[in-house]
Amino acid sequence: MVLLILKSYLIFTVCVLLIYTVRHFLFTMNRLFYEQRVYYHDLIDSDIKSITILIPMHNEEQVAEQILDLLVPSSYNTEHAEKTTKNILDLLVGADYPHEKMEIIPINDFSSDNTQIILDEYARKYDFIKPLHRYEGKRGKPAALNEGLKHAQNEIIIVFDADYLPPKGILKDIAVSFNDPEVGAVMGRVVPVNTRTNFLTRLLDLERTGGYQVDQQARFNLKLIPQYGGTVGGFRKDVVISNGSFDTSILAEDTELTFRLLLDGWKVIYANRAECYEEAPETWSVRARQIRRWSRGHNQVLFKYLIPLLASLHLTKKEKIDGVLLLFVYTVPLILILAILDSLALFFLGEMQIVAGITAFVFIGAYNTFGNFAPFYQIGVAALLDGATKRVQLLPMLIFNYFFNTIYITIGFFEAFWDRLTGRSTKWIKTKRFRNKNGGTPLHTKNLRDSSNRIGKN
Amino acid sequence: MIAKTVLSSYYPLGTISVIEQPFLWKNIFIVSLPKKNPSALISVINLIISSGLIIVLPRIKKFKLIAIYFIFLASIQMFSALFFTFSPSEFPYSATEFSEFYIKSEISIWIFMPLILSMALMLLPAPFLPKLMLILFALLYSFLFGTLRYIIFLFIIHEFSSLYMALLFFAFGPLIDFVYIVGIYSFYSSRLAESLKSSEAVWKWSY
Repeated sequence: MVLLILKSYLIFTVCVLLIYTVRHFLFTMNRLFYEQRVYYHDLIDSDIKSITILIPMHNEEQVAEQILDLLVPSSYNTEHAEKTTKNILDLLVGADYPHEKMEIIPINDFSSDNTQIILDEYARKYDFIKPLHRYEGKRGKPAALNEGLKHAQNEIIIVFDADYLPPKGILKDIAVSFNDPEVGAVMGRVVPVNTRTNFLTRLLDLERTGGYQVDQQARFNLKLIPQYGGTVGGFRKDVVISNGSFDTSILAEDTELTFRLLLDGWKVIYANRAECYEEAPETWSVRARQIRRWSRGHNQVLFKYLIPLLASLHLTKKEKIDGVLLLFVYTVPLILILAILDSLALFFLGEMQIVAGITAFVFIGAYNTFGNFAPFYQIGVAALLDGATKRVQLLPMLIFNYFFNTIYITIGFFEAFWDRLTGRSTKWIKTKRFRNKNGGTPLHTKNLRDSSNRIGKN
Repeated sequence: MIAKTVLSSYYPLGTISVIEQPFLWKNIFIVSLPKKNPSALISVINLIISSGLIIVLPRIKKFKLIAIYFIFLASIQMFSALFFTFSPSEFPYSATEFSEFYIKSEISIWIFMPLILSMALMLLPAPFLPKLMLILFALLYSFLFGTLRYIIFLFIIHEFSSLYMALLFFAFGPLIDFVYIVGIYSFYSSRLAESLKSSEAVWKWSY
């Protein structure tokens, strides 16, 4: 009986991995060979929508100045741009968006450093920057966003994390999609700005490339479920508020919003051209905390939305299938760890015959499916589309990332499970920033230049 | 045969032999060698070292990536050491059986590798012939690497006992094959990206 259970589990694992392998193969095929769904960027709208930009910040003095410089229209920030030119160099100096249609709310969320002073200084200079200082209530991004939503005067909300470096045209690119009355949220593309810093940032760049250039775009093409990622994206304020705002007990407020909108019949779309630069974690310990938090939050969403998703009347069958696979993405590492333990047990129980026969499949599936959230062929094609000639050579090194992710994602799963079981409250831990306080290093600037030269970019 | 020739030069005449076994649609040749179980002391030492590594490695701040990989290796070795410490006589495999399973899993790899590579390469915008050459090269590499690894595995098992059988199979077995498969793929796609850089037609849907 025990042997039967162990063998059955191994077969179950292989089936799960094969399903994900096929899914990602279809995505890759779609991205490369099929007509791409056109985003709204060709839409010329004389009635530019008024937007509110929310930037949650907790002890962000290292990066606070830069993101504001980049969002402030160039006509406004000439003085400041000159002051900081030596820091941000050729970076974009201001967003291409009429200032009278824009409101920026940096949300100082319990900062104990100079964030408050920096934000107040900006508020004195620019009337459309309206800092919100929070020192009461629950800390964390969802709670900060909820507070920001109460103060936002416009219907369209665009969110950036504080370490992001938005290029000039991104606000228009994101906001234009809301001309479609069915669109509830839009997600842009995240590109690491510090790719060349070390081995980890290079691997993370590959991960992001596969995730956005192929995965998100293919899901958008196929009318499946592109995911709102919580930053470099926007949503409708009233829709979120009418649904009870962000759930502060969930660490992945972005994934939660994605599913909440879909269940309410809204569309979530992806804008591949709305690229924004982020600072990827530069140390493994920071990465471990980040991936663990993502896993915990994502699995919280799984526990909350799996059944409503299956029961939804608004979603098509293929959206439901994609939604289920998306919800279980952060459960696959646990399935794999159990499969490895299962294989070991079978090995010592004298069943190496089945282990020898199937382990190959297990590891093919494991590597294909969870090399690092995307199989190697997906990342290879994504890197090819980006015109990357060198970094794709690091693909085999993702095996290390695979073990690393597997461990921390599994820990995150159990944390989410415990949250669900006990109803304990979550505590938001911010991802550490690495940029120096005086602005981007020459390395950052160099990367921005490189990314703007990518093949396929208009 | 190559493995037998190499290993025979290290051991007395008659220790190593080649046996024939049916597998799939034809017979396969397997190196047969005597079983060697570890002593109780060696098992306990292995148990202590692997357990120690599992405790110490997570505390290492630098080289976390490598540390996690070594935790994986140490965990397998700990299982094995536990088994040989408490019930060595229950260990279900002889060295010859391990040799047989290795050959069978390697044959599985040789069957599936062209399939996996074909599917991955099929997606790339490149002519058929270079892709075929690449698959053949990967197969050739796998034959050579697989044979060399077979010899090393059998040497370790014969020289240092069956205690390391699980570690060799799980950590350095089929998993490693996929590393070089992906390596070959990544090298090719890197070269391809370089050569396609100026071809605008290829990139019509990339934006």
